[in-house]
Amino acid sequence: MLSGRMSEARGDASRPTKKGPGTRVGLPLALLTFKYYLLWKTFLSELGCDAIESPPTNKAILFAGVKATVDDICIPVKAFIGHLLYLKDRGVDAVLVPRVYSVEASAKPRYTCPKFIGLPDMARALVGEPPLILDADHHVRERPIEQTFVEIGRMLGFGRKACLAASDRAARMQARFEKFLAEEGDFASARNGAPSPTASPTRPVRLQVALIAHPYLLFDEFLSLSIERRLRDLGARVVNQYSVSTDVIETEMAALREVSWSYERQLLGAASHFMSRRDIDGIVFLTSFGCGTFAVISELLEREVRQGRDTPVLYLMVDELTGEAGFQTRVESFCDMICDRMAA
Amino acid sequence: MKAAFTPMGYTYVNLGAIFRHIGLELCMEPRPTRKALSDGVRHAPEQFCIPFKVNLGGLIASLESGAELLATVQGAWSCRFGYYGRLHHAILRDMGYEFDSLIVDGSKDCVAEICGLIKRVNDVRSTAAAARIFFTALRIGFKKGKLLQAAQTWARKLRPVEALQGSAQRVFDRIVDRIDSAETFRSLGRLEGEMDEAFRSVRVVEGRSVVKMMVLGEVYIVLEPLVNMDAVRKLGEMGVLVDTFIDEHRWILHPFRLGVRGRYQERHAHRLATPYLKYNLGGEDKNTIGYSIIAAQRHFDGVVHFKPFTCMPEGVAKHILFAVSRDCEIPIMSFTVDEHSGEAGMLTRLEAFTDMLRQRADLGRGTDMSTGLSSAQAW
Repeated sequence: MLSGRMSEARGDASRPTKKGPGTRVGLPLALLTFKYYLLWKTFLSELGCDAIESPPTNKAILFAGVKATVDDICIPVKAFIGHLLYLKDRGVDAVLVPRVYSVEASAKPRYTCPKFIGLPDMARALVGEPPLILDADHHVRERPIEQTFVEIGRMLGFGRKACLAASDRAARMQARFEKFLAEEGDFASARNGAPSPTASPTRPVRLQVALIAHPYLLFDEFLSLSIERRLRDLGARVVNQYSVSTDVIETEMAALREVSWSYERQLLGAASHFMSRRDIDGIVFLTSFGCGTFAVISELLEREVRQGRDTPVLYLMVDELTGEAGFQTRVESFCDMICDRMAA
Repeated sequence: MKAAFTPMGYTYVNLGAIFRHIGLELCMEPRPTRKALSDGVRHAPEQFCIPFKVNLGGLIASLESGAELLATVQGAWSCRFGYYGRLHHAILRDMGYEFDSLIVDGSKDCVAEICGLIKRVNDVRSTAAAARIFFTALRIGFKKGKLLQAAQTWARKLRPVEALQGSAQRVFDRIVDRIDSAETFRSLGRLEGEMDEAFRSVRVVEGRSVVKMMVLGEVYIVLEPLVNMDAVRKLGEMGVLVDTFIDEHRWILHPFRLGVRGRYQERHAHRLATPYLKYNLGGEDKNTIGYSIIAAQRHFDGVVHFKPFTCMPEGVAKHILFAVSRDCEIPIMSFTVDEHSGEAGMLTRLEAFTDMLRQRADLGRGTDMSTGLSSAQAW
């Protein structure tokens, strides 16, 4: 009885999913797409699929997601569900929601946040199929990334050989994407493969601020309330965690081996690195309401990582109700405070 | 050596016995108090889940009364439970307390640490002697847990049908005290018979119709009456036959992988949950989904789901529960609990849910609405 109903809810029989070249595959521009943009996009286009991106998060998309989810899940997940609903409305044949389980093959087991591990299941429960949810495991601890792509390709009706060729090209494009991210620290330029023209700052540079946040907040103008632009307009030069190399992060995190969340290790390690750099005047740590990992890492940052270093840190928390004025005031006063401190 | 662990539900009976029998003196409040909760809330990060806060408050209370060794059980996975011990102890040290930490996470280091501790407090040299002491302690703990579980089952079954409200609970409290104070296998064995007799003496009303409900969710909330507003008991006294997926005994058995396959069917539940949730997320998410399906298959009338505010695994599971509820046609009510949750609000909602389930069951049985209502009023 149960299995029958389940397949009905999953919509297996309601319409045959289109497969092969020309399949319209949705790529939601939210959560880890900001991290694996060219990896996923190149793979789809190399196979000859039509990769359809959702537009940058906007009010309609976010609130569609807010409506569908429970209150206390973090806002990037709400936005993600909004993007999926948008893509579903556009009538795509499939959406790419890989289950990003582990991203490094380290000696000590390391994983991502539980929300990523359950993301395709959540998507299936909330959005439903069709569109076909491409949910192969991205589990670097257990298997090479090519296998993930072969699995996704199979779901789309492609052979192993085509998938391997596409995944090879995708990996190369992703390496380029990451190199750009490290150099420019900017999603737009990494995405286009060319440095984007930076608007001339409205004020002379008076301080240097490190901005630390998960990529899905950092690079999402709407969710982050354009924090980077705001800081620049206040006369700050902004660097983010992508400018810190993996080796540096591992050295910084040597004392915190227990932290088993890969992405959070990067944030913590970068924060530690920025704290010991003399040329960084302050750190802005942007997070979202309901971010479970933040409660842990903020505590570790203050109690174990800081070790007497006095770099000021501003913790900013955003949710779907964040008011722009209050946000601006806090950023402004933080910058002013740092400048006063430097003058003193 | 004066030791303490984080209090949760009735774990002071079985886990406490294990601690005492490996030679430690327990120095803690058996149950977390309101004060412990507010102390915990004051010193814990705001966005942390409520079990962390209550545990922290409990540890503060133990330290105030002189504990020298703090044992914290923690997970070792992607849920925040994997960071409990480390963070608790870091916060407490920053507050100025001095103590030894024992973080029980099932790792090899932790086994060696426990072994060293037993050798130290009992003044024995050989590992074999230490192991003997440990296994005797475990056996006593398991035995007490088993009795506690039997008492809980009795109480859960009797509460909806007792003639005088609260009589089952009175017997239960007395029996739990007896289990806690019994120190030998022999006295525990005697208690087994006495318990059945004591519960049989509770007067019941024959033929009263009861609603069957499964209580699911995050372990701490399900087991700790302070944070779930004593929901299991209150539901029972509203005329609900409650079943839970976990109790203190199973919680202790769990790390030893005992009973998951057979009696408690955890593996079966996980298998059922897999189409909805492929992997365990580190909390009780797979149990939540699997046992909801089991509840539907066994014709339970409804499911109550508890989750701490901002809980990561249960947050994912809650979304999926919508789909389970739809597919399996079982009503599911989900509560998100934090330090601000009020008792009256929760009781009202539980009552309304129970009434709804009762009417639904009556309709299903072919009686018309009016009978359903009048039988509800008879309560």
